[in-house]
Amino acid sequence: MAEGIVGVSTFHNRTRRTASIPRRLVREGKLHLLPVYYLGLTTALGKEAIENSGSYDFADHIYRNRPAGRFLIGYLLDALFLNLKSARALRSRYRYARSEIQRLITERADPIDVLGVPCGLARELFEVSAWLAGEHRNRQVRLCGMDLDQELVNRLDVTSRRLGSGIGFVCGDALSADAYPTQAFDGIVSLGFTEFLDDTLAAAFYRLAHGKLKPGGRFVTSGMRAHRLSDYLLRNVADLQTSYRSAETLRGLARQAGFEQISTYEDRTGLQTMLIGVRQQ
Amino acid sequence: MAELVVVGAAGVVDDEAAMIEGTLAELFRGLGIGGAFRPATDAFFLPSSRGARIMQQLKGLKREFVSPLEESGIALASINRHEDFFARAFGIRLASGRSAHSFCVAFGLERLTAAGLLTWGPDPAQWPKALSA
Repeated sequence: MAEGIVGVSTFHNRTRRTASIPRRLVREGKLHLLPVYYLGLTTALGKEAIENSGSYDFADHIYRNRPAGRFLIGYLLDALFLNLKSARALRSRYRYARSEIQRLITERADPIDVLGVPCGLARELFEVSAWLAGEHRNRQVRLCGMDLDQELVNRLDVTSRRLGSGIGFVCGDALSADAYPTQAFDGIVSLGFTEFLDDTLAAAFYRLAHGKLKPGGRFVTSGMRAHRLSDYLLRNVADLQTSYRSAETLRGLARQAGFEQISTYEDRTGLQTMLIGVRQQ
Repeated sequence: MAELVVVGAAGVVDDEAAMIEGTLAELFRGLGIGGAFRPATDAFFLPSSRGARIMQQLKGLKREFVSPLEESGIALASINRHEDFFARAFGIRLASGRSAHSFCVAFGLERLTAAGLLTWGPDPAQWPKALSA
């Protein structure tokens, strides 16, 4: 293994390959980014990005939108980072996903099965569960989350039991057909996964999702356009490598995967695209 | 000092500066650090003549978050609107060809540290939870 290279992870979102980012910045002559790196480490968002690249905690910190950091400066900078255009765009995707699940539930007859894959902290599933408990107590909706991280799945199981949410969690690789629960789903939600896959793997994942949907079932997923400053900082300071895609590219992948009815929409910043693919009846 | 610089179209820069000012005031309040944003006149990039100071105040180019931690108040953060001063100096243009506008938000690191210690004391266990992430 070459010097400065750490082992390749099976987690596609963990893109960091450099053992020491400051050393790499010095080697590449990007000394101006050293203060940014160390200041970034004082913020919860920067620290998570630097240590675990595109982790579920990184995404969920943006979704939650509650600043945290070391010392007062870290806290204040974290709040400003959470207000960046790219962070606002990323936050919008989980809100859209939650709305799409709620729309599916209100439009369909029971029982309904929804899968989040890879589910990360499954914020949208927990919020839909709370919404069902509050406003639609008698609906038969089965929410399920799947993630490759066994430790996370155990944590989610505990949380689900504590909240009485009824969400089931399973451990499995989103790119392996055998890992999926056996039943077919009315809705499959996937946020922030294909952003770390190349087009071939992304299309393969879309095909798997298509195959796991009931006829008429909906696939809800996201894609992101690059925000130049955020991308520059994330690549250089956090080693976070993202696959950016336009709405047209996402539609192309969905067509390749066999989706017949495809729609996309963008958030207010124009950076985030949501794709809805429907499997033919 | 830690400083973030925002560059863009005049309207976008004005909106972002206003948003950041509101966010910071709310964050300081939420942490129990008193104070408010006030106009200031010592922008680092402008001449210090009386006329320049008056113009600067009229245009609200510099605003500081002043906290009453000591008798005269102490500025913990400031927002400095540069208009197109730096964009002209460095040739930064928008896609339309017009000069960009910019502002910076600056934090005094030692002052923030002092403010934290004076507000919550020296024991990190007593600090707000959000500051120990």
